[in-house]
Amino acid sequence: MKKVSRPNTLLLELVIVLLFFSLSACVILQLFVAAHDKSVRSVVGSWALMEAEDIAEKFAASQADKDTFFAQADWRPRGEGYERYVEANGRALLCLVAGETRNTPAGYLDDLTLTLYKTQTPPSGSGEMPRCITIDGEHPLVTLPLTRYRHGEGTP
Amino acid sequence: MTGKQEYRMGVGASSILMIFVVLSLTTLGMLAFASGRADLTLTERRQAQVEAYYNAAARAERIVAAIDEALLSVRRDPEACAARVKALADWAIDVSDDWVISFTVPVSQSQRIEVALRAAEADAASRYTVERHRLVNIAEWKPAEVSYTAVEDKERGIN
Repeated sequence: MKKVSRPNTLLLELVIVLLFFSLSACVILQLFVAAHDKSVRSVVGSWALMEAEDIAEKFAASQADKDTFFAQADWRPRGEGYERYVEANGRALLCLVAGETRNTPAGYLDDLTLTLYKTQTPPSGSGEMPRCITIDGEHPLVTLPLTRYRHGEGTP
Repeated sequence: MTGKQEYRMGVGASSILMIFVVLSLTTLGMLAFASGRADLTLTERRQAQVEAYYNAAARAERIVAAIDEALLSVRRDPEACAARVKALADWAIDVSDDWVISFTVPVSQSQRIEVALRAAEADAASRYTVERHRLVNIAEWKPAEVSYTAVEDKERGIN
């Protein structure tokens, strides 16, 4: 009867252990990746929410009309609205404002919508807005209404 | 005789080590995943709350615009005052005798925005002043039903 030598047994065990460990590592690695993904989404979502609240409160507190307000706050015109690029810690947000100001008989009702998207950081790192940002099909991080009423003179 | 002691790893040691490492990594991974998921859930809940607040605030601004329009038309045509006040009442807007116009906008099941405007005199530059614009909690607070009898008895030395 042929006896299995001790070194061969150890080698066989090591091979089985390594195989099992690599299989387990594949599953565990996916768990860590999912955890990191959720953490990043949470951090970016909180940041976007803070930026959106900041913009909304500044707009609500301002008495300037929307064109003056966004021009003074360094927003760039984009179509009928405005856009701004915010960057921090290697992450970037694109803020878009769209909507109109309606003249009511007694004042002005700004009925705007603020939308924030996650974008790529510009390669230059200069804070310059990239010329082409594709946001089509991307789910916005935050959408807030920027509705503000300013009463006009409207004296009889 | 020099007794040379040789260390040899026994069969099964690597398996035990591997099981320990895999279990540790799995535990850490589960904790990281649970933490990340809790953070994301909290962020999403806060996001929903903030969006609900700003939607309600936007609705409140639209109502203020409508009230200002009504106040302007009252100044232009005082005879229409009663009709305008009735119109405001139809929108669930309360107008007190001293011309404090108040309304509420629900934010969620537990919060609402309360707004009160005081109509100014006819010769004033502004037609109204904002008396109140606040977020109010309307959920009824229920204290936990905990009996302190056992604790009190223990403190008094009663078994």
